[in-house]
Amino acid sequence: MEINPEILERYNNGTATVAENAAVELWLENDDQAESTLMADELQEMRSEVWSNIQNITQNGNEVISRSVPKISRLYTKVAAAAVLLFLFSAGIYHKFNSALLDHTTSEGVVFTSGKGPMEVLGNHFRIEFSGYLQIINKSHEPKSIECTNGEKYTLAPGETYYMETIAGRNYLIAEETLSPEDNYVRFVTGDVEVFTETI
Amino acid sequence: MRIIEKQRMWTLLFLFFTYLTSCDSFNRPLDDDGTIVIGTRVNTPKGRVFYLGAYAGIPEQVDAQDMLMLGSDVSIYSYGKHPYVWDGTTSRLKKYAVNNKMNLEALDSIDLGGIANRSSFGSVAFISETEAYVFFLGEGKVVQFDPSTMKVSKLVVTDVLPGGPDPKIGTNTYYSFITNDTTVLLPVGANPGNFGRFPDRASVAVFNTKTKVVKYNMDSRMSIGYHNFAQDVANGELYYRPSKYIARNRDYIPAQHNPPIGGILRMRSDGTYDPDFFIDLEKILNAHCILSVINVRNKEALVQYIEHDWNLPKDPGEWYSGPTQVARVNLETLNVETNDYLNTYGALYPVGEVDGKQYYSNFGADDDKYHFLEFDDSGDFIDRVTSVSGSGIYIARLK
Repeated sequence: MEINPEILERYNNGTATVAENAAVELWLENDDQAESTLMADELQEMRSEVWSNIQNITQNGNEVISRSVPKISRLYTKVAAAAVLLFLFSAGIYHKFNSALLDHTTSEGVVFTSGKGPMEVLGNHFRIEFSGYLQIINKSHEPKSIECTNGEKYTLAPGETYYMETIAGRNYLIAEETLSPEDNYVRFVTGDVEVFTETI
Repeated sequence: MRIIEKQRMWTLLFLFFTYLTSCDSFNRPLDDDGTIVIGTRVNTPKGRVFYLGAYAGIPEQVDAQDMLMLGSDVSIYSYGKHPYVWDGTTSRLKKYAVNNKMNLEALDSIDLGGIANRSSFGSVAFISETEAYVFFLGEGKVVQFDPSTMKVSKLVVTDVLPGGPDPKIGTNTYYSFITNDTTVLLPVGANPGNFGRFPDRASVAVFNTKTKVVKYNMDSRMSIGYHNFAQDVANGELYYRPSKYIARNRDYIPAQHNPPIGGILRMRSDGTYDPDFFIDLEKILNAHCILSVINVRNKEALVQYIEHDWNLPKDPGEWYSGPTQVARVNLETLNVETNDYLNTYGALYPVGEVDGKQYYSNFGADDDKYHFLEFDDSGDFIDRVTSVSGSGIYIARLK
């Protein structure tokens, strides 16, 4: 679908169709520089406006990103991952989230920020697969738990911000309260993340 | 008749003073030395948020409730009478003004999202009222813009920062220093989140504002260091200092053979290294590692370090919670004098300059309080501002 100012306006107003919402989010996700430089001024300005709105929503905490945007090209991977997860987690069913901005009227979730941007996911237990350096914020009032693909488990205290990294194949969680404010650690965020949340 | 004239005179005087008191210029502080701007970072349950406030003078206390909320990923700058804020979430550089009620108002902004990737943002350097640069060296781009109009003047394509695009190395530049009319220096650091091999040479990016060329100057006397210089508050000399990130990396991936990581180099204004100056602070202090060179004054460095006999935690996530010490090291005589600043304030880091005085903020104090501390001429930290809701990030006077 071609993104035009009318679709962006409907997206900002919350009157866009499901297909239009999905198309806009894919467009927002796309950091491809070549595309960006070719973008018309008007579209570029509106793109910033949409980002700005999303940021305001996130900051105000009134609404929270939570719309999953699975890419068609990843459909096969998604199905395969689901099959593996069903096998591994016979006690529960997990739902996979890609690195995409999500919309939704819920809050109190956990925000995973990778090099691809932030993603808020609801739930209490998460299984994550990531590369690079990840920021994780538990925005809820309850402890949450995460499990990495290598089986390492961590507890996220309510309202706390963490960074997750990989050293020699192991994952480590660093609480932001131990880090110097001099260094804006979110600048170091890189890579990608996939989140599987237990829904049953 | 005289009575009528007197009444008229008093009426006119009354109207005149009423006019004056309602006039904006009258409300300005009479002693207009320039507005103070202060930035803080508050950790909220929704994540950390940056705030910026404006004050007629240096306030005794700042509170985020009275400040402008900026966002969750920002860098604060100022030049002339205007604060500027890079918003990493929207890839915008925003220009603000302070009105006569000391409120910050957004004036204009530049959307750089279509020019460079926000993840490669490095720093902003202001040369004049009409010439400034935003560095995206990770993808070899420097954007020249006019701060007076907030329009992009030129996109300069340069050599890409070595190791910048490689996530296993993750070199970066986050601070810039203007050393003369044509030279901007950007110390190169490395990303702490990627425990691969770190560069075994010090590195500084040197941008010439006339030729628009970036050179990367290396020095093999020490490994890559921190992405911010220490500046001698007495004479302005710049020092390339060691990085806690690299120290932590070495602790958990010790197999790499490299030159000292806890050293300090002195820069020359053209971006070359002083060939006659190198000190291995780790060796001088017999330290496990150097966390930070907090500042330098009259060739005396205030150094935060971890002692030699420290038991390395098995979990690298706990590395930053290790006990630290502070000492003054004379960079000429190599005399060492221990210090107890950490007992009062916790760790200190630079946040800006006001009227020629360097300011520092703290975190990790026993009382959990945050301060803006002036580093005075005698080498002491004077508590000037208490931040009741978050750590100090920035302070400057707009002039």
